[in-house]
Amino acid sequence: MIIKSIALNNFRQYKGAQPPILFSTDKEKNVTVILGVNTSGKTTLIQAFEWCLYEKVNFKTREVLNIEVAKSMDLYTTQEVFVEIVLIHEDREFTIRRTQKFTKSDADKLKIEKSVLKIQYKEDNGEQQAVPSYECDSTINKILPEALSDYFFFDGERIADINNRGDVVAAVRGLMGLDVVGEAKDRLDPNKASSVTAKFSKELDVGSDQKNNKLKNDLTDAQTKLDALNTRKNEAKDEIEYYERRKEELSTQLLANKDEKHNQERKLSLEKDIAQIAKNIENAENRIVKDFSVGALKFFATPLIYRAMKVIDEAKYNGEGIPEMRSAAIDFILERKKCICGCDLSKNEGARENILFEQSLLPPQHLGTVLHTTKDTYKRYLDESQGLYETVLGNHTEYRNNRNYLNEKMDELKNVSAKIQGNIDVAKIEQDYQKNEKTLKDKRDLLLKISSDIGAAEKEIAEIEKTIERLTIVSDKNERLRKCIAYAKAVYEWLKVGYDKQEKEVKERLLESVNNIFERMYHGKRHVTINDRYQIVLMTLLDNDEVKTDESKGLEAVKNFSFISGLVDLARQKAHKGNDVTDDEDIPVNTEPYPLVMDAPFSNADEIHINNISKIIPEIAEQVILMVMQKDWEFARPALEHKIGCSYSIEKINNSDTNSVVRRTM
Amino acid sequence: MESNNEQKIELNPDSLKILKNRIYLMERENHKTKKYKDNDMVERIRKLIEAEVDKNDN
Repeated sequence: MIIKSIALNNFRQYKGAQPPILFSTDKEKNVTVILGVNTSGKTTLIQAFEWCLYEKVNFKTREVLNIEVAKSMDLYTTQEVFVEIVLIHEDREFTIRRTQKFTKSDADKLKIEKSVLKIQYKEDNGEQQAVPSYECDSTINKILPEALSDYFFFDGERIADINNRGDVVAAVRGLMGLDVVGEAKDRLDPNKASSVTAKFSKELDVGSDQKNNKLKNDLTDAQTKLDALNTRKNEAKDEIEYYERRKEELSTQLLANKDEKHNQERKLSLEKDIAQIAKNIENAENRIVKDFSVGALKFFATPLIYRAMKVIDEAKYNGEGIPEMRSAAIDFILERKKCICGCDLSKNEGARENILFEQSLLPPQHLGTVLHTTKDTYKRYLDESQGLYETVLGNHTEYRNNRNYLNEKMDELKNVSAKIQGNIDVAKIEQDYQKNEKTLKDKRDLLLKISSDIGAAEKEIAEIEKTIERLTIVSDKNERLRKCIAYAKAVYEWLKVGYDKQEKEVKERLLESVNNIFERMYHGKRHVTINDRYQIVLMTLLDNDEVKTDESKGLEAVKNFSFISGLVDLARQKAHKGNDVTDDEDIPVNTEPYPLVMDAPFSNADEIHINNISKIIPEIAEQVILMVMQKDWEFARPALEHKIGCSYSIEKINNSDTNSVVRRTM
Repeated sequence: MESNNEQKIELNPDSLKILKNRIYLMERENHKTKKYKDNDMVERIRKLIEAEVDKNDN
């Protein structure tokens, strides 16, 4: 696939109809450079490709209509956004245009119509033919499947995780055409109940004996069981891959947060201490307030009480009355003329006079009793206020000490908190790690069990097939079916052997290609390996042992570039080899050379790496379209200059972020 | 009636080559267009094999 041009109309910051950007299709000068400052619209160009082909956009606001155009629209008027790409695929020119209409239906509202995709292609005689609308999506898929597009249209930010994505295996198999072989293989697999081979087998005539015919049902059941087991096996493998990836992620996080863990534990302990100290302070405060409320009056009245008691002691009064006795009580006794001892007061004048004397000692006639009672009260007050000072002082000391302790702990907490980065909860990561380990073990055990069940199911199928084969009656129909089965099995074997061979070869060649490219981009002791998930791992020699190494952002960019470049290189090599069946041994894989369309590819690389990357890209890709910042371009230019077929510059109109134009500079 | 089906079936190398080629190309085309579902593809391959076997027998 080679891209000839792209034309934009009102797409994001490209206001109005823009002249088409023509890309270099020259095999030698295969690089097109588009220079632009930040926010000028470099990323928008990449997004324009993806919107046109797959209606995919990564903008925060999903609307593709230019903001200035949207704002200036009159009520009930319509504006159109379109992106048109012209490309060559399998020697045929395609014009792909996606259009979307926007109507101002309200003062603040735009009615957005569904986008429409139209594809035309040029016949050999030069006539344009339209692809029926219902076939447009499948035509795009034919040209560049959406799942693979991220590997050819990418920006500097996305390249960072391009090799860590879960779909790398599928993408590599897809690019190398292995998925086609895989699908074909599955459809002929004799062990699959729904396969061509199994369907032929089902039709074999084993006579009218019910027992014999039951065997065919048993075979289907065993094949269905095996199908389910294989599906489960693949799921279990995917799950194991997921949990292995998760294990790696969690280990990396734990390693990176070793100090963080200590700090977080200290923080937790400090927070607990602080809560306890605050409680102690509150308790001391409460005790002080309570003691003070109860004892303050008596405490502060102590000097006055002493003085009052002295006055009472010095007061001259004769005798004291009966405590708590009231004068009214005496009046009552006198009136009833009977003493509490039972003496008749009307007949005993002496007793009556004695009672009258006692009455004279009682208030209000006499103060002696009152003073006596008051003195007792004062003594009680003095007793109660004794020790209040010491108690309050003790509580206050405890309060003050706790306050100081609290300040110390708060300062330490502040320091520890400052050291803790972000909101990483290391204890939670550790918990997740342990949980992940357990799940991983369970899944591995499950895989072992499924594999053993698969072995048993395959054996069962083979035995049933053998029995059916033995029971099959001799007839023309059966003869024909047996031939069909034999051909189906032969094609299946060819695909199976070819698939395994191709996959092994792809891996070996990809590793070789990626390593070659990596070595040309990076001059150091590291090299790369590719694991079973087609992920690149950087390795270095340490005491004669191969060990995994850390990656800086720049090195990560180089690593990922090597991976993408290796893939593109391999696809191109295979495409040039041809796609037709040439002999019985080799399966032709369906590949096509692809262009590399990259936005800010150098943003994380240093000047040496930019130079190295620039030297390699035009060699491995059929066509290169680069959106670059001026500052990066200075380092890339020396290596790329002789490969440039076209160059453009994006200019902001009136320095606006919403109106840019692409001008050709070469 | 049981039969002795132990004898190996001779396959015509040209037919096998044709089948390999056609089945692969058919799969490749459908992989891109997704025009046919699994069952349809199985049926198409089956017919292709039957046609090739019948061609040889006639």
